[in-house]
Amino acid sequence: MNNHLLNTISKSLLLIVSTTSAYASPAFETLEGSASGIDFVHFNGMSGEYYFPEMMGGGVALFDYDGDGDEDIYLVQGAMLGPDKSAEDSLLPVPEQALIDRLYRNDGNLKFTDVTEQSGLRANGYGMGVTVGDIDNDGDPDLYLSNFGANQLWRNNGDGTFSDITAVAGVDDERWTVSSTFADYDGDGWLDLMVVNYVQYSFTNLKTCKAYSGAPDYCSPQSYKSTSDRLFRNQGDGTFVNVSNRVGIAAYEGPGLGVVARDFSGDGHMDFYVANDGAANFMWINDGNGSFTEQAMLWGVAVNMAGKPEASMGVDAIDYDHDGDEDLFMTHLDRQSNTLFVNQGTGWFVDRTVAMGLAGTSLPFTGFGVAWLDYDLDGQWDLFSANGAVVVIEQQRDAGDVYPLRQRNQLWRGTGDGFVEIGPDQVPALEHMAVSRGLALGDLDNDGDSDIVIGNSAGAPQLLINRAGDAQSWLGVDLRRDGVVAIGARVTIKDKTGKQRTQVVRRDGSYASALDPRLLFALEGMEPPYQLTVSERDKSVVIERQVDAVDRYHTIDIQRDK
Amino acid sequence: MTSTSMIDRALKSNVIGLALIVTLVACPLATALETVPEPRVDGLAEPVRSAINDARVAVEELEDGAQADLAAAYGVLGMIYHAHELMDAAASAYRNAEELAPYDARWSYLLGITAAEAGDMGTAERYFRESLTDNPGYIPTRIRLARVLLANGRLDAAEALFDYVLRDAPNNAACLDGKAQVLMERQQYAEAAELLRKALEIQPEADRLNYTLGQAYRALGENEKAQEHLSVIGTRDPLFMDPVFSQMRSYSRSAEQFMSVGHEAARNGDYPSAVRYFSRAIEIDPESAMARVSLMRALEAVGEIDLAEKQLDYVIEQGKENSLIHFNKGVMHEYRSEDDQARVRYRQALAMQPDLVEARILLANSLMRNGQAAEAVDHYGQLRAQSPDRLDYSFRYAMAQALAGRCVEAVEVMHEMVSKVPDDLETLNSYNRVVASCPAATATHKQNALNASRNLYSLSTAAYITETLAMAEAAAGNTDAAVEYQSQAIFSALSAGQQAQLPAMRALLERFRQGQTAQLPFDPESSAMKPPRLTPEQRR
Repeated sequence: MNNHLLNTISKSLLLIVSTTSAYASPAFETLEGSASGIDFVHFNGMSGEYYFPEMMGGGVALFDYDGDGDEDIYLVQGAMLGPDKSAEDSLLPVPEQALIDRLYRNDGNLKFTDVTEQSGLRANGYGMGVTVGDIDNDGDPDLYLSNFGANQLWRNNGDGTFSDITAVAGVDDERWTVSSTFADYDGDGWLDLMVVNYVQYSFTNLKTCKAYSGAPDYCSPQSYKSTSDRLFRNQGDGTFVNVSNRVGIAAYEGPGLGVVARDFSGDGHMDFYVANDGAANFMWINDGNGSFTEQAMLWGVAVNMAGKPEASMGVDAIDYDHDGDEDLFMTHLDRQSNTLFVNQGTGWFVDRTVAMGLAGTSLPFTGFGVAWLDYDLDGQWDLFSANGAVVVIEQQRDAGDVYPLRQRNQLWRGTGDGFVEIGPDQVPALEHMAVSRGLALGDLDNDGDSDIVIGNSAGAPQLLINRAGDAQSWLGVDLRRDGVVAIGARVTIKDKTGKQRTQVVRRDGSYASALDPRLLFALEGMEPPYQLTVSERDKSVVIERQVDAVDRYHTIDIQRDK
Repeated sequence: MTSTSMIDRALKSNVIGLALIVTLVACPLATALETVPEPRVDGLAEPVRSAINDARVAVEELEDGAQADLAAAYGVLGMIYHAHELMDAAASAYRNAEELAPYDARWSYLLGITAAEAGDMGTAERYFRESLTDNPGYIPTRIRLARVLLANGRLDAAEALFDYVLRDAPNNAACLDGKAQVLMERQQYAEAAELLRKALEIQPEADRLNYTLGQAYRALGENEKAQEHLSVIGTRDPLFMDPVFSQMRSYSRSAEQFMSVGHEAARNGDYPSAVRYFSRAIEIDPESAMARVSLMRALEAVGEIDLAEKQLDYVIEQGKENSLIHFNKGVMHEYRSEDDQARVRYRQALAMQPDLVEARILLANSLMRNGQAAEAVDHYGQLRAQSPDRLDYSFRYAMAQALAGRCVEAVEVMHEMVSKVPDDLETLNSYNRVVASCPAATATHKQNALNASRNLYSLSTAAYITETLAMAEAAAGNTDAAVEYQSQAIFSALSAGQQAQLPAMRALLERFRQGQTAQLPFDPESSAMKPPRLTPEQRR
């Protein structure tokens, strides 16, 4: 046997070993509730009437409510649904816990404690989603809860407790809200509130919908009249004023489910992108003078490449192609692919879903929560989608499932020139079948990679702990402005060769959920020393410094560390 | 020979040889068949249930028969399920058909379609490729396979298939569109625009292509052209001939079922689904005037006015028009501001069905817009007689009377309305206006109207209230007061941004200055005197 042949054989063996080890260690592992202390079970109050709201809730937030440096978990709860319905009518077991949203404190080592009682949070509406933002600039995050019914604003008192300030603040939108976002649209230093409303559904205007076979089924949003969204301006004194009419937002109605606030036009002002379910999406461009104009059709983000409006559910935006502007990804109904809109930086987006290999694999699934992440810290953006159907899957119903909308979730790995799906064969946690809705991304164990919490309708949440990033080098940034999370500011890491990666601080996106706002940078393929640059929304540089310590978070304050 | 059997023969002609070889070589005696699921069908119409039952019985009866016959029976069962959108059962039956007759390209083709419709593109590709192997000449397989490959981002492979078809059929709009989509993905916008323009020339009804063409122009910096095409929100894709698919569709036994679910979707406001279901009903029963009218209404609701009207024209061409057809045709004319033609249709509808209230309202409104108030009085009068509690009919009747120069009758009608709803300030304000513009009104009415106008003014100084007081003052001979209040009304309108009302208000002020009274209760161009045309949005 000659040396060449030996080399070939040994290389083949190495390949087999490395492939095997990759399969032996899945990228995500499910953390069971019994191990984590999270005993929450979402209850949707279904009684066989196919009420529309019962399959739409399941929001999740990751946020550090007690300022101890780790992400706590907030889970949105439902309630018994429908007039004259009681627990006896429920088709599913009613949880023993009181039916209110739950706050779990992160005690470290992936252990959590239910602190709802001592926090004073008594959110007992029929919950849909949750939004996080520091509305009073006191350094601790507050909560806005979107409901089927009146929404609520809970102020974080800074001592581990919360107070309901909805009435005083003036943000109690009564309409059906799923997602909302905090963003400083007018640049006055206070977070304003964009509330996206869905359809005009009530128990007095119920529609009876059926599958083609004649079996009862859930209605589509087209069965109900849409409604307009609301923008509340933060007046800086704990109150908000509804400026929807004044700024132009109220002029359009759409069945909104997802929303992100970013500077899509690159002019330094926060714009809003609203994902509408079964109707053209909205791109609200901020003119910087207190008005917004709806530009989605002209900007190429209203409908898909084929000109068809899609049932948009969740949405997330980051600069996926590192060209300095924010790109969009959104989830859709089955038989409609998810959509990747790439910002050209010229007031126009291109639908690159097919070209990037993201179309075909999403067609069998209905996606809701969604997030851009770099789960394996290889420097390429990946995607995760929380899935669950919205019309009855007959096979599941025929098998006796009373909530036959279950689907598995999906992960796509970015390769640099496209995406490939990572299936359950590689990540067994993806075999889990549930009616997933909310999805929140965050580093629960502070080990420098993105973990995922999925809110399941009528089920327990799924905690996916990231193992793919464990051996990778990283750099974390907790960016603040006077102690407050600096939403919209951007951080760039540049290595000695000039290679750079940029991210914008965000908390919104996904579906009905709020993300860990800390930024995680993969250092794979980069060479030290690393130069860190912080710039404001208008791209003016405010901080430049060399960072030597890696594999840890750096807290940087735009005001204090200038 | 029926068209179906001709298709069968054509499809099978080039695979018979292969079939014989397969049969001789493999000669499967026992084949692993799956149990075709029995989906819930209790909500389906009786003809559908019967068709499914008959097909299942046929399968059972042939279980011990010739393999080819059993394959055909399973195929028919699959097509019946497929035609009624029971996809899992359809796919199961097709799989058995394919197992029994692997040489018959139809079953793998239809399996590819069911997989593609379920979003399972990998399986769809496998079946389409199998089908192409068995029958390489069937063009729709190439088109559908190319679309699957396109969805999976395999642009070169998709393009090769589109090119293959275009070589022999350069005007195949579906392929031109497909190739354009590939070019769009490659960001070759000029070439894509060229193909899309051509596809639209060949099939102008494929209006969905406008968006893609608009995006191509946008990328090329041709913003005016882009705007033109982006403003067309189309829904229709280019069509291509597909005999196998048509054969499957022909098995639908349920025009009634499609009508039923279509009406339910429409009631729920889900008009896109309603369009789909009514279209299927028409495929089954093209002569159904009811299905055409239903489809027309659904198309109208999704903004497809031209296409909606084509449904009516079809029925009219067939000589099957009825009152609803005439009425809806009138509505279509009204949308296009063709009032004369609209009135002809409304009159035809009323001649066939005198109690068609909607036609009478729209006819009377149209007459008002055309200045034919005397005839409008007759129609509003009939409506009022039929529904004496409908205040809107009484109001329109009064306005028609006023416009026809019969203001005394108008005053009496308005007075009757005020008696019925004394707390309704809008009605009271209208009564005041009718009296103030009627010199022949009695002194009692005039005094009542003046007092009421002053009272309303004490509650609100909105422009239209203030103007009413000015009119009442003018009618009472108080010229200075009339001028003053009318000036105030103009100021209020200005402050409220009601620019459109200013010319008429200024003209009225001029009349008051000259000591004259108002001639009509409202501005002759206002919606009170000229009811606006119906719009698709209102009708929705």
